[in-house]
Order: sequence, then C-alpha cells, then structure tokens
Amino acid sequence: MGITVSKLDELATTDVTSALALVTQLVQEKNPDLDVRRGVLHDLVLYFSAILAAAKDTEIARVRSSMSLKAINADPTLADTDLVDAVLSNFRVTRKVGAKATGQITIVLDKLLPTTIVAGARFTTLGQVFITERAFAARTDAAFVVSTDDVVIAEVGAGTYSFTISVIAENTGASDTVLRGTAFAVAIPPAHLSRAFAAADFVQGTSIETNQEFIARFESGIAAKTWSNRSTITALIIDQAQFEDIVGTSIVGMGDAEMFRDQHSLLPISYGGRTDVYVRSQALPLSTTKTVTATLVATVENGGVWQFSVARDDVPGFYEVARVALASAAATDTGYEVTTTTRSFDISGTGFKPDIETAQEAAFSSFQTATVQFLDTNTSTAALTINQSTQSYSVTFRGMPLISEIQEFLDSRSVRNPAGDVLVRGAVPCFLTVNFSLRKRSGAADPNVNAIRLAVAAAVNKLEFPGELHASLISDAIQDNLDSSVAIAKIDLLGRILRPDGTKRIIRDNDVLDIPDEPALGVSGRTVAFLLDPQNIGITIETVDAPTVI
Amino acid sequence: MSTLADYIGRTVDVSAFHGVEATGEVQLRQVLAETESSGLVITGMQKLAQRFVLEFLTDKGSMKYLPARGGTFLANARAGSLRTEVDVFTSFELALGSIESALLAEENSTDPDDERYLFAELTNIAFTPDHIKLYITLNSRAKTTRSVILPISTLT
Repeated sequence: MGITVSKLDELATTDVTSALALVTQLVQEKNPDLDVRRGVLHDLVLYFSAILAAAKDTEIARVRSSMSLKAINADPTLADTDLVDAVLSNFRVTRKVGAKATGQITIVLDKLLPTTIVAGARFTTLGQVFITERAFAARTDAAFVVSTDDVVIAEVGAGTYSFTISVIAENTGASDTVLRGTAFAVAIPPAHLSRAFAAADFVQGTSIETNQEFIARFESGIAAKTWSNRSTITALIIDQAQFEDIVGTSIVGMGDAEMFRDQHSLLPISYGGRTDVYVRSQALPLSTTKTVTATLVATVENGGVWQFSVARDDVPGFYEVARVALASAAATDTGYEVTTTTRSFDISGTGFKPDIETAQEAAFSSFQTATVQFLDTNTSTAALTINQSTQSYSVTFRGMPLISEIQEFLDSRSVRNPAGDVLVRGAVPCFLTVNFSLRKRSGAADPNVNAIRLAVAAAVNKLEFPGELHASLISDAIQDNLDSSVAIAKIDLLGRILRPDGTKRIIRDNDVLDIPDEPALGVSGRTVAFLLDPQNIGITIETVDAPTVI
Repeated sequence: MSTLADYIGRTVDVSAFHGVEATGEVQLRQVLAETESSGLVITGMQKLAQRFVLEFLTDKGSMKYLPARGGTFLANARAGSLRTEVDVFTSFELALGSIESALLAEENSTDPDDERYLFAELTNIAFTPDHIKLYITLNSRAKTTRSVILPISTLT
C-alpha cells in the first residue's frame, strides 16, 4: 500500500464522520449565521471537504506509520518502501537492491568454424533468460584473436568443439538455480550448434529486499558490531561487504546441547569459551571443480579404486564430492561413483587455531580435510601398480562458500573474542527433494512448472535455520503461480541430512519435515539448513475429469 | 418578498431550488446560482422545506460515509413497485420514518419554530405515464405549512 489515497472510497467511515464533525464545528464557529446541519452547505461543501480532509488525515497517518519503527515492525507490508529506507538508514541499514545472476555458458559445435555470438543473444533455462552483454567472436585458432572479446574454440573430442561466453540474467532477482552442466536453449542458434550448457555454477542473483525481509535484518543493523551476543556477532559478520548477502547464521555456544568443544577436559563438563558459527552463506551450495591427482589403491573386478586427498585449503568446508571424472572427460560425463569420504582435520601451522579434537567437530569448517576414494570403471589397471600409479581427475565439490573467509575474519586479533575461540562451519545440509501433483480441470491450461519450481526453491532457500519445513510453505509458493482451475495435491517432502560425522539420515513426510534432535551428532534445528535445488522438484500434472454440473 | 429583518437571529443555507412562489404550482429550477443572478440564501420555512426535500430525495446509502441519511422511497420507485396509490402511501410512510428521525435529530430547541419539523403528510398523488406526482404538505412547529410537489420519475 502506498502513502497516497488513490480512491476516496477506500477511507474508513469513522475517519470521515470524525472529519465531518470537526469541519462542521470549525465552519459553524467561524460563520455562526450558516446552517451547516443539512442542506447545500452541508451536503456539497462540508461533506466533500470532510472526505478530502479524511483522505489527507489517512495519508498523514500512513506517513507516520511508515516513519515509526514500532508501526513498521507491527506491519512492514503497510509501510512505504522509500520511507522505510529513510528510517532504517538512520540505523546504518540499507535495503539490498538485488542483483542479476551471472555465469558462463559453453557453446559446443559439431564443426570447427568461426562463430559470432551477438550482444543480446538470449539463452534460456528453467524459464529464466540470460543474455550476452557484448558480442563474442569465437576464433578457430589463438593466432586469429584480435580483441579481448574474442575467444578461442577448443577441440572437445568426438568431432565437437567448444568455446565459453559470459552471460547475465535478463532480470534482477533470485536465480540460484543454474548449476554446472545445466542445458540452455538458444534463441538464435549459431551454425552447427550441438548444445549449450553452464560451464560452472552461476553466481546467484539476489532479489530486491521486501519490507518484511528488510525489517527482519534490521535488528542486526542496530546491533553493535561486536563480539558480544548472537545478534551482535551476526551484525559483526554481515556488516562486512563481502558477507552482506549471507542468508543466515546460527551461533552455538555454552549451554547448547550441540556444543561439545567446550568439554575438552578431564571432566565432561562445559567450560565455555567456545563458539560454533554455522553459516548458510548462500541459497544453495557452490560447486567447485578442481583437478586432482589420484593414486590407485586397489583393484576390483570392474575397475580400480583410486584415492585422493583434500587439504584444508583446497575446498574449505566442502559437503561432498558431486562428481569425479577423468580430466579429459566431457562435461556431460556423470563421472564415477565415490565409494568413501573419510574426513579429518588439520590445525597445524602458526597463528590462532580453534580447539578441535575430532573430525566431526571440524566437519564443514575450513579445518576439515578428507580422503576420498572412488571407483574408476574405465581406466585399465592391468599395467598399473597399486599405491604408485597416479592419474589426473576432474573433481567437483559442493559446499557453502565463504567459510574460510569468515573464519579468517573472526579469527583476526582485532575481532576475535579474547575469552575463547570460534569455529565457522557450513550449515549442516539437508538436501531436499520435493514432489507434488497439480490437478487441473480438463481443458485448463498447463501451469508454468518452471516458474513454480523457482518460486518453491526460492521460498525454501531463503529460510535460515528453521528447524522444520512445512508443506504449507510449499503450497503457498505454488499457489502464487496457479489460477483457480488448478489445485495442489500429494506434497511429498524428502530430506537427506549429511551429518558432520559423515553418516546420512533420510527424513520424509507429507506435512512437516522435522529436523531430528541429534545434538551429539551435530544435528538439530540450530545447525541444519534446508537446501532445495529447483531441479529436485518433481511436478506431476494430473487432469481431473470431474462430471459437468452446469 | 423577504426583508433583512427576516434573517436576524437565524441561520441560512444556500438555496438549491430557484423560482419558489408563496402560492401556486410552479416548476422550480435546481441550480445554486443562475446566469442572471447570484445564488440565494434561504431561511425559515423555506429552509425547512429544502431540508425535507433533500432528505427525501437522497437515496439511502448513496452517501457512502453517511449511510443512515436519506430514505427508501426512490429505491421503491426505481424498482417499479409503486403501482397503486396504496403502494405510494405505504412507501411514503415507510420512508418518512427515517427522514423524520434524521430531521429531528439535527434540530436544536433554540432553533426558530418555523425551521423545526413537526410532520409531513402526503395529501394527494397523481399518476402520469412516466411520473408519480407527490403532493406533500410540510408542517413546522410554528404551525406554518408549505406545499411541496415532487414529480418522481418512474422510468429507469
């Protein structure tokens, strides 16, 4: 609702009658000879003056509400955005203006020939449009490159060639959906186009903050940016420009059932002085691809078991390995099965380090290390030697970004709590799969499933550490994209929690997905975040053949 | 013809109807000011008559923020339910209840008696193909009367 009264019908009757009484009294006092009770003066002059006066009073009340922190807090939806911006700027909080998603798309051709992608070329996936901001000239050889906008076409194999271009989302807003390998449709395909796909995870866009979200963030804005309590610690973190888009934090400390690091003594009692900061730094985990050297550690009937190590600084705080493939494999190759991931930790070196004694305590932190084994079913092991033969692989990890950076910031001497340590960890992930049916009347148009997927994922992924996920939240997000001829049914929520000890727990429900209370395993509503990739949303369209009544 | 003395100690309203004659049946002009003259102010019995007419001709609910004002007679006329004299008398009496309440509620005991409502009666009815003509006699507390003839269109 805006400040201005746009229609005189939207006023409250009590406001108008009060204004009419006041106007009548004032006019009568000023002109005692006029009859202002009923007649032309009353009906044509005072009555309409009172309506206009009530409209102004209403506008003034709205301005007051918008400028009152108490009123804004009571109902942020009623406040004018410009005024809320102005009021909250007094507390050094500014609205997030949103950003467009960006990324790179690999264009695969089935013939080597120079290709031009014009500025404004459109690429679509999952209902989202991405465009090129400038033209790209793909050259067949590096010798032909003449400008910084030129890219070189590389041979991929199997008679295909590829080059990579940069794109940006057409619209500002949350666009946390495009993962590496996601296929794109090209509006005007270049000659000999074979396919187009995301070269890497896209940098997520962010939505313009609503009043409600802005107010929810307000507390950290007015809080002192110091190491004091949970509000101020969060404020301290998000006050830094590079951390301002963090989705949420959860701080576990002394007295919390999830805190065991403060019991490292002869007696199993809490001594305090330890803080775990669980961070959901963005909506979905970031994929990071690295080339590693793996060693053959065993041979089995259908291939070789290879092993590589992940040092603490390689991919700080990663959750899991999403893909292992030969370095020469095509991007669409799904890779090999990861057989084991054994986590450990490394707190060696100089400088202040948090108190960590177990791999579980270090899981998803920047002190986590790991040894990963996988089964390569392609490479012949006949001529290879166990524990000696090595080979390069392309490995894609998934994890929350910024874990190492936040740890480093909070560990700095000027920031660190002088009475204890802090350990920054990625939120314990609960990877979600959501399935539901949309039942439409025979003859009704199909709903826009891509828009629904995005809406559902956005609704879930903006949650911080909610402890439980309600099907009603899903319904609400779906409903906004449906017309009255389509109904929602059979919502199925399935979650896979990756515990810090490396084990998994599956949870499933139709109504509410509760995070189990397993503090000894590092799993509780304080530590777990729901992560929903739009591609893990299954939508079944059902046609209802109800009998015709009329 | 009124004189200045007629207005001393009284409150005035703007006249909404021009061409009023003390006696006889004349067609009034519903204007606040005419091209040849300025607007008029009224008081006394004529002001009471104007209050009554305005209240009677206001459709109840048509003033959004004063929903109690007005009567129900016009709504009945538009609905086509006034087909006999009995219908008209009944509808008039029903409307008169709320109109009387409104008029009496806004009066003060200090008002001149000829501006205070006493009662109104429907003395005659004339039907034409497209109108119902109401002959209403309005009585003030000063025992003065004023005849008001209202042609109500029955075509919608």
